[in-house]
Amino acid sequence: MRLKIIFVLTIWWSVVFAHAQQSLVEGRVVDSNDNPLYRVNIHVVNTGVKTQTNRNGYFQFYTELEKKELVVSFTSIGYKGVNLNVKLPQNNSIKVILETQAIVMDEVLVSTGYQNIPKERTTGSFSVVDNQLYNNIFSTDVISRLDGLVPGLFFDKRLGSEQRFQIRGVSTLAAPSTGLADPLIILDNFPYEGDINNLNPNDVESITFLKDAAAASIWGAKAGNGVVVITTKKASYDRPFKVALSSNVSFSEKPNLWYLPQMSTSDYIDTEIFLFGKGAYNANLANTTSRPVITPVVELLDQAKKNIITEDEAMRQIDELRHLDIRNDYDRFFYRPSFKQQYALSLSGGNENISYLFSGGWDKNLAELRENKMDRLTLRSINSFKPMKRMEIGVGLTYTFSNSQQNNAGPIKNLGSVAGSRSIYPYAQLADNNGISIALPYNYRTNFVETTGDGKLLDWKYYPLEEIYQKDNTNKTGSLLFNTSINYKVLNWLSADVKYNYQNQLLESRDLQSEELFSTRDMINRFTVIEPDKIIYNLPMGSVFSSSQTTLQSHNVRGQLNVNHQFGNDHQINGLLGGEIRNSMSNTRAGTSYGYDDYLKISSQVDYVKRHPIYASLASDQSIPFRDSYSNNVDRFVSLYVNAAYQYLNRYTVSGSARRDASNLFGVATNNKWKPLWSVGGKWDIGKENFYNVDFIPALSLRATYGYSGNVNNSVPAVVTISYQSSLSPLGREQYALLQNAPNAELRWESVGQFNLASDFELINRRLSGTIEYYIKNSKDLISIMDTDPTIGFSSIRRNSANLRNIGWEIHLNSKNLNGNNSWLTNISFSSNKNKLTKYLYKTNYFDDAVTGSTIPLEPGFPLNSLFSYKWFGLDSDNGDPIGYFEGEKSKDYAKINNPASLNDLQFHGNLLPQYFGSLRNTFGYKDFSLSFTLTGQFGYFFRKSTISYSSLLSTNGIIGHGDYASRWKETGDELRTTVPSSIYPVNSNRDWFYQHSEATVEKGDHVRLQDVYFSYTLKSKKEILKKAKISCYANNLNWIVWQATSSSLDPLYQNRIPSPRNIAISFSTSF
Amino acid sequence: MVVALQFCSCEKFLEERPKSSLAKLSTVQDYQSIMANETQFNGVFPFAGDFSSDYYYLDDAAFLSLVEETRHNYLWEAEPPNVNNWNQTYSAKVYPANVTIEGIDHSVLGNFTEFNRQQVKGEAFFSRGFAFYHLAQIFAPSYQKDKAKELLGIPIRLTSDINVATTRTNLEETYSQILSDLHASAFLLPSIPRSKVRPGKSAAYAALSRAYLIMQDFKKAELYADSCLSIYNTLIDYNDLNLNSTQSQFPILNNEVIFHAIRTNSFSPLGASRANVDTLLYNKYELNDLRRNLFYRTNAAGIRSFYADYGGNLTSTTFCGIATDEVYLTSAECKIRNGDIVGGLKRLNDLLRKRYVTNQYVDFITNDQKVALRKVLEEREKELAFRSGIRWSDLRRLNLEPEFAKTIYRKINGQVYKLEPNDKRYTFKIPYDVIRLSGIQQND
Repeated sequence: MRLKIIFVLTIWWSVVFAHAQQSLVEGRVVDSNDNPLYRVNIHVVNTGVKTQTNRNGYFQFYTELEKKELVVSFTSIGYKGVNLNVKLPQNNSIKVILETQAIVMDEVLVSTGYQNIPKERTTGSFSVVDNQLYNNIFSTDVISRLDGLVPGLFFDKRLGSEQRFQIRGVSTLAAPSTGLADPLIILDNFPYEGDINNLNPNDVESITFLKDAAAASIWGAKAGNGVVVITTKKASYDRPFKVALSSNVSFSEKPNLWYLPQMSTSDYIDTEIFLFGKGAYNANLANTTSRPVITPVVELLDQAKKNIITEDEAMRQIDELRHLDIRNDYDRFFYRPSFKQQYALSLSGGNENISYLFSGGWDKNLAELRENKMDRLTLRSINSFKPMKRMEIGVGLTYTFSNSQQNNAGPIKNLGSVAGSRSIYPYAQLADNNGISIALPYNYRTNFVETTGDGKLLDWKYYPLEEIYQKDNTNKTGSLLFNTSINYKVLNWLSADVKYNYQNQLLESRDLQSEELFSTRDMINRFTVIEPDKIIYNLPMGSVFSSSQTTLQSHNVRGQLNVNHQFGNDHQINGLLGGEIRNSMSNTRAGTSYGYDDYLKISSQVDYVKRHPIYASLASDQSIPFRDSYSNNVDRFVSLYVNAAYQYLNRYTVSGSARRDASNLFGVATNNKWKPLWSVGGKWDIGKENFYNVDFIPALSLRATYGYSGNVNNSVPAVVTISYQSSLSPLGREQYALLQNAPNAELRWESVGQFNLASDFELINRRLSGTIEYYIKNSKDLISIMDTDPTIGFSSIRRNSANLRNIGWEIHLNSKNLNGNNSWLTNISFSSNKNKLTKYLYKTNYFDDAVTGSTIPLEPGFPLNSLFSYKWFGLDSDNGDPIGYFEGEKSKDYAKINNPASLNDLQFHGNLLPQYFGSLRNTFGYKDFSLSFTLTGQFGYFFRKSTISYSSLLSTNGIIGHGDYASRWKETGDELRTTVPSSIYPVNSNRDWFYQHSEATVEKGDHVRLQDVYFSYTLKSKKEILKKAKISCYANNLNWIVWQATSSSLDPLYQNRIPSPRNIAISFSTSF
Repeated sequence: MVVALQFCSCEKFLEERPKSSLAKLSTVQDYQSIMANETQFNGVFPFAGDFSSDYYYLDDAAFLSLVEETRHNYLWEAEPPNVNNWNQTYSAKVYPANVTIEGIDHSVLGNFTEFNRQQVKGEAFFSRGFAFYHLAQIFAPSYQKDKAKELLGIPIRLTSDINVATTRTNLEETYSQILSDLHASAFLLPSIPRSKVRPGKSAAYAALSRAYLIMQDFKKAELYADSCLSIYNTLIDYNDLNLNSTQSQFPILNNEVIFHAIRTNSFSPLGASRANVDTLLYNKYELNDLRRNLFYRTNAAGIRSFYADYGGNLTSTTFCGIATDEVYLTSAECKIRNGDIVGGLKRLNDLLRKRYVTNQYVDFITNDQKVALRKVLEEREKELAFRSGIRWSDLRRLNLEPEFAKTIYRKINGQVYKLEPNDKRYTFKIPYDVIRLSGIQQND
């Protein structure tokens, strides 16, 4: 009601003025946010008239009509002055907008997902990656570009993921694979539920990291691992039509398959000859039931033994194999240099009431593995309009479609899919000299598949090279994102928002395994029964077709009131109060059909219940695998939040936030689900104090915050739940269910309390600016396994049973070393993060697990990812046995050494993840050229290199040994040059385990590397279309280690994994 | 206003199950589905007693191939048996049964009937009582009425609340709980169950007769054995089986099975490739006794082992459920002990007639109670050899009667080990982890 009155009054007022006398000059002065400006000085230069605006920003004065034109100046402190020419007589009231005079040179807006505020006015710890820096880097996805850009952000690449990162260390004990340890990702205003790879990096405007409690606790129970807010490009009002275009192409080398040391083929063949002599293959050679794979060398040796061929002939044929290396074939036939293309186009513009932005992007990636590829199309439309003066409506629609094909699984590990399959041998060949595909023995011995079945079976050979061209394995993702928002300015300092967000993602996967594929032929053959008068196919001919569909839907509604009010000159308050409700559902159905015909789209019926005989009694009777499944997950959240900051005299800021969340995750009474989380913070801008006069530090401020955010671990419910099984009970043929968990009414959400202390400063004529932050992060009530009395029904339960403390500091420096035509900028970020498990209720008597480097140490007092080793006393000079330590004495009783009674018997090295890491980026500019390169460093960590395992090499399974085999102990004196124990037979797996996990295989990880190089040239052509055009070139994954602490040939970033290959991207962009 | 709206609706909104296959326990169907878990209620029964029983022996090589724990178990070393004897019985039987007993009365019927509710509840009582019975045979001493209040029994957990501390009861309390659970189940269960993996009144009566037999209450043991047989008394005539087949003639859920159950088979010394039937026992089977060839075969390595598992297992003996032959023998023994020698021997003869070549069995007749009893006990040993869960308890209870007490022997690497009647090693030590984590008193 009141709003209406104000609205009517406003209209009436303007009507009154519109009919003013001709000699009157009148108008209104406002700031860029349309707020009236009071006491703006108005000076008519050519008449000398002076006046000021009133409280509502209006002014009027009379003038003589003689003058045809007046020159009027408008000035006000804190605003840029404006001079206007006013023609007389004045027809319309004039509106003058005064822009704020920028006091801070580069004011950074931080986006929390709930509001966009100048970084100046916040107390929290935010790191912002802006569009320019972000877009220098090339990648298909939005996440992997961030590596090295932000202090406190660490990418853990050990396990092969380019996208898994931590903000300020780990805050939970949940395994990385569960996703529960991942930071929360906010796209614009809402958590992003879909596949992050659906986002097109070209649509990203900026990325804000919310690192401390004051910044992140607004996100409540999901913010414990830190929050990343991705802000996409928006349309603006009052902008002319603009077209932006960019095109990127990127190439990567083939991966270096020779990076990981591997024993030579000749050595491998010698071990096979040795094992044959020991009779190790006798059982397999005599096996006429499962007929396991026999390698060509062993077949030749067997033929020679049976006098089918002569010994010399066998040796001659074997020697021909010695020069082969399967990695050559992989390199030649499986891999190619990867090639990625990315194109983006956007159209935008707007008048004072409407703004629009349309963008489209297309990506095509040809992966390094042949026949693996991905396409992605993204379309966006972002519009906003103002139907009324105080109202703004925004509508956004994003559609993404991607299609990825995964037909090449890469190097072959096992020569079979049945239990007990042996591994690949190094002299295997994929194709002959003419490039014609060669069959490898797979699942069964070659002479069995060549002779059995009398032609009544499908071809039972395995052609690995054919497989990748015959597979039809694709994933399609269609994703729709719909956003709408209404903002109404109730008062000049108060606005109300309603936002609605809808996400829908459909993932369809298809795996059509035609009869051309070994797995299908094998399955059909195994289920074939050949009787004298007929052939029974218990599994019908045709393809095996597996498909699945996952639908993900989420609805978010948010209502919010925003306050932004200045009282007088000294008091500034801004805040928000809101609530949101969210519902996300995922629905999966998957199934497998047999005897499928893709052309006719028909499948055949099979008998899933009966146990069918397996051809030639290769295995006991089996039923046809039934793989249909359905599942549905629902996550629901209700949250209330408030956040406010008060600033006094532009230099004292206090802030506070509080939030409560409730969810359906725990299945307990609603009142127990509400989790209050809060933060408080303060900031003191010392540099603005009157007494402050340190000239070489012109700006200095201090910030401190404390607060809590939470972590939802939805793997453990508080009440007893049961899980229905998808099959019937075997004997009773009834539906049955498993009791899932112990009841735990005391179950709490994990909470992360964080204290943050920081200082922002500028030095040397503001050329050097930076931030130093220090934090202590205490994760409490972490859910972890805890031993319990087995009599209660559980020998261990997952409970709130551990505490973890992270302490760290971060330095971020920007330095403008040179300005002008020759420019030189330096950006430094350096972080430290140390953690310690401070409480852990799990107790064990078995400490052999400690040496495997599992995430959670076995006792409190140690950091996560601790690395322990068996103590090492070199090799025995008599026989090359490794020597260890048991009960205070040197020992070779490996079984005992391997099971120490306490952690004290082990050597503690330190952490598997760097405790210090940073980057140094230098950017040089010369006229229109720019060059930058980034050095990154990781310090204070260790890794364990893999080494030879005689027990897996010297077995009938014969896994190809590690390259250390060549440097093994062979004779007395070797112990002085090597730590690799001698090869013994029969093998002793405890001896292998001891050496593999001893101090001798630990390396320091500390190193500095050149991360990337960027070069660009800005065309300043006169042609409109090329006015802002830029050509750039970006190279990364250079794998050039500038310095490293160890002499090992392994790259500490990738350790025992093949490094990401060198990559170079060339891009062109323009806008007009 | 938006905020207010949220408050009103969020109670219901937040009740939604997070996962479709997950359910909070609310309906009779939920509880029935718990009790239909065959792995828990028809599998993983304890096995320590059978590893220690006298019906088999191992040669040195077979002994050495065992894990240390099983070697201790075999030689009656005073060490706890494998933790699964304890842990799985409490976790897979007692705990889920408690969850069911606590919740079933408040559950929603849905498509089910009150009859289903009573049945599920009865199954839970049966499973709990039967589990306590098995635990008592391993971790508590033999039942002696006069000492039962002083001797330590097993922990009796009657709640699913994991915060309630574990304590040991005395032997009297242990057995009275076993009886009360089994009586409750006998009252609730239908006479004939849906399938032999679910208990019916027949199984409950049979279990009661077992418990009363252990407690030397022969009147009640007879009563419940006969009650069981009045519901179900089918015997397989072994003459109908294929004596020459190399395949097992006893399929899973065969006609004599009243309640199907198997023990844990890991770490087992009882596999057919290892376990020799005790020579003296084997020699007790007469030549025209069909069991001699149906039960035992000699393999290529010369090991004469048992191939007649009532659980249908071809390579090891695993069955530890309830079958009619056991109930016939219990009835026969109790009738004789209670003075009804004629009635008792009739039961025995009815059974043995189906074990001998047709028309070659001569009914055993005597007026001498002692002779009759000795005969029925010998036949019990022969019929139920390798039937898990029985012989160990029989050894324990019969040792209390000097005339049937037996010292048993093992021989490994030339060394002879013996276990004398009523040795304290007839009660196993409780697993160390249980003692450490619960603080309950260890057996001595």
